[in-house]
Amino acid sequence: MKKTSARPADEIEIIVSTYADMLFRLSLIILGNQNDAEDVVQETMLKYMKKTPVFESEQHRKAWLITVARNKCRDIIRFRAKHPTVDIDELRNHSADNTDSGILEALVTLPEKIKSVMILYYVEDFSVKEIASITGKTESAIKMRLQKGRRLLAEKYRKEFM
Amino acid sequence: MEKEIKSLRKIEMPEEMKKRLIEKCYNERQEKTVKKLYRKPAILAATLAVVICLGAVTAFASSGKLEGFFGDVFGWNGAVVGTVYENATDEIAVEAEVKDSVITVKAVLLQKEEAPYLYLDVLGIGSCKIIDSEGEIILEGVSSRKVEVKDGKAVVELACEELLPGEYSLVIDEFIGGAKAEQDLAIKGVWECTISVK
Repeated sequence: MKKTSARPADEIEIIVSTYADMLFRLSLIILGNQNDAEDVVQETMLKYMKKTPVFESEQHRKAWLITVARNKCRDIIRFRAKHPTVDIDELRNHSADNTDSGILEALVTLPEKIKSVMILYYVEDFSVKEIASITGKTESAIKMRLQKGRRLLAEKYRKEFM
Repeated sequence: MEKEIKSLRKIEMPEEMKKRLIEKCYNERQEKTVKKLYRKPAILAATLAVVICLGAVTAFASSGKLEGFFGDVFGWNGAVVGTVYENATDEIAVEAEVKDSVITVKAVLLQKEEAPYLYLDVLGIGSCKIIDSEGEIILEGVSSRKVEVKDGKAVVELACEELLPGEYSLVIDEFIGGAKAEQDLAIKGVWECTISVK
């Protein structure tokens, strides 16, 4: 799927089936709210349909979608109260089993710039180099955020859930 | 810890949400297409309107029919000092003949029921020239006295004792119309007649 000018009907469904889960996961963990996460995914996809950007590769497309989604998440955070509202029960519904809900809840409480990097690295399997490219930061900055994220998560997770 | 984080990969967007999302994307694309379609008829309508207007103007111009209009006469200081009636060529029919060294010009007011002709009591030639068969202007700036307008017609006379026998063109570029207690009105146009002097 190199051309964005494929038949519209096929393209919409392919894009949604390929990337919607990833964007939803990312948005849900950043925002801690299913409705907001759905809004972010929807806004990202609509922007994709409107702009119809041309990509050099599939990785490029992926990175573009993630960047747009993260920016949307930041917009939502800015309009909220200082601390995001977290519906613990809602988050639990999204866990494959209840034993994982603790990590999700702990992850949600991390600062946005750290949890984004954590999700992209651990959940979406991006490399440090790719994350650096997406976020516009240096690789060493990404590595530091991952390190800090692991430490914070370990503290919270072990403290509250273990 | 890493294992726990990776387990979050199992989180998926609910199917119902995906369906809503696909539908919204389709609607968005539909709206874009409809907007483009609406723009096309609007552009077409605008183009047609311009074409029709241009066609009307062209048809009007090609029919040779001109309509007269009132214009202002300005003094040296830019102030309006009088009125003139322009483009009256198609509103007055002119015939001329020469007899006994007199050029008789018959002027018929074709729109006698309309202004300014409706209000004219008298009509005369304000300015004309006589051109010979070689294009040489023989007489210029010739005018006549004003005569009474009767039933939209006026018969004006011009003396032509200086003309040698031959064919000439009489070109009138101004009539002067008058009404009681009114300032004379210059009626401008181009009227051309062929006259023969024997």
